[in-house]
Amino acid sequence: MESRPSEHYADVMVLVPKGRLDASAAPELEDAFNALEAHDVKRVVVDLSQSKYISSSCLRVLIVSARRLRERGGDVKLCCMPDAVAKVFEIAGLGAFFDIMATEEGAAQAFGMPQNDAGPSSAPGCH
Amino acid sequence: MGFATVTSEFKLSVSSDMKNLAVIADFVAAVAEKLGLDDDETFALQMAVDEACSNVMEHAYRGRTDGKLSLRVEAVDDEVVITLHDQGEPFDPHSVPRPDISAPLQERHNGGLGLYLMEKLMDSVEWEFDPEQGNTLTMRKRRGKSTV
Repeated sequence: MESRPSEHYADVMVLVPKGRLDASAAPELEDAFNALEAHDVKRVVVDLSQSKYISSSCLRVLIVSARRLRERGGDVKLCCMPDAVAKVFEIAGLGAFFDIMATEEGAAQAFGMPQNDAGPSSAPGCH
Repeated sequence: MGFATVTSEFKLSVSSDMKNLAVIADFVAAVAEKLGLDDDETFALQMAVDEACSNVMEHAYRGRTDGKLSLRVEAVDDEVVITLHDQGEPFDPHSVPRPDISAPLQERHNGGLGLYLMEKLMDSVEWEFDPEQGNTLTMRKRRGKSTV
């Protein structure tokens, strides 16, 4: 699963899961969070633009990861959610518990970290 | 008269490999199209079936990939009726607490979200266990009355 530093904000990593986030995808998502945490990453943006669907298994990974990162002073913030994915968050009642932003830059900005020297340049991508 | 009229019936059997969740989703989408369901109804059916099948794979078959899942979708009068059958471990839905979605995230327990979603998306969700036949899950959704 692709993970990369935020282009615009320091100390923020971006995860981009792809395809159907059903129960078969949950271990990979969990591994991606574990790998980031092993590198002491505390602030993670999950860009859901490439995800068509999310099941309770992957929601659980996001909840558990957010809870763990919050204990360490970090968080998980979400962005670029397709309508079908947004609907699942709404039905599951999770909309209030995650910061869900329209853009990756907005999600990274929500951590309140300093901007990189280059600062936001072009419009940040939801792919 | 008290007879239910089955107008269409569609069946799929797959092994309990999680890779088959995508096959199941495609099957439900194709059936929904044939039944002329709208986007909300299709979404509800796909998600409820996905959660139900994941639950069977994870809990009834405990991750084994050689178990059998039999799925049947029927249009019965003004309802869509989904029947999912497996021969894994007995499943007791009462043993799984549902999440309190009004509770703060930090205080919620992690389990039960899948069952909560199934019950929220469908009009009725019922489990039966028979020592010889295994688990049978029946989910019903009335057509033209989308709640999501």
